Amino acid sequence: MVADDKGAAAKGATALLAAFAKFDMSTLSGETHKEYMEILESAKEQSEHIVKRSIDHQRGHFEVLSADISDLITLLGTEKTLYQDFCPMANNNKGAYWLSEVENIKNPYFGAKMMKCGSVKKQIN
Amino acid sequence: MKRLKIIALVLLVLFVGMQFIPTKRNQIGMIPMTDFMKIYDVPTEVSTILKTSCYDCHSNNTQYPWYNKVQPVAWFLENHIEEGKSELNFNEWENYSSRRKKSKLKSISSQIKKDKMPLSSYTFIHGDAKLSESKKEMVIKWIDTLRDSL
Repeated sequence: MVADDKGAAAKGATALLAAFAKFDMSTLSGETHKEYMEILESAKEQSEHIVKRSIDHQRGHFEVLSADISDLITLLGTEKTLYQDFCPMANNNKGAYWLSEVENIKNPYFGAKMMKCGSVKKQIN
Repeated sequence: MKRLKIIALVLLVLFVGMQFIPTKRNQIGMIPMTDFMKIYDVPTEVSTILKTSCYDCHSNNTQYPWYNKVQPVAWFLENHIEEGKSELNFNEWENYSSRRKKSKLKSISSQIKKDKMPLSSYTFIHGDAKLSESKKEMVIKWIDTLRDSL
């Protein structure tokens, strides 16, 4: 989405769906399992939309997907170093978060139009 | 001339024959407790709009005017209802997790804002489902406020 590439975004979402399908959730118990299922249900729905729609539509669902994945990381943790970035202009100026593996800002909501818009809000690990 | 008549006759027979193929009616005939309108206190203006412009494809109860009972319109409609309900079903609102409720509200609002919904193929035959700018604005504002409150 940073590259304004609808096809690549769709492939990414397909890969994410495959990863969800492979995840072994038998290790989760009780409340954690329940919450995982709720996040999963939403994240899958968002990914399915990203697979088949236009870039505008993809970005709308990516806002929700980013929130879902952040919650998933809070729930299950990660070993990776990630950055939670925030663009105040996305989502009709209400602002939206996204997760990135690099410290530099690369805006997925506007792409080339406003590549540098946003700031790092939180570093994970 | 004779040939034209034969073609017309064949088409007519096909059209009549089509009418005997049964379609599934999307009508459970009751409004479940999980319905959107039973969960929230929806203002009358907003609920009228939702029922007129959304519920035909996004609930378990479609209002069928006569032309929607005629084939091939009925098939066309059936597919749309199937798809519409899988994306969003107002009758089963309470069965969605709060996470999904929020994302559905976001999608409802943005689909209306971008004139993606109601579908133009639907408003073409369903004039009263078409949303004026002021109606759009009212629904979007109400939906956004609800989303922020969840």
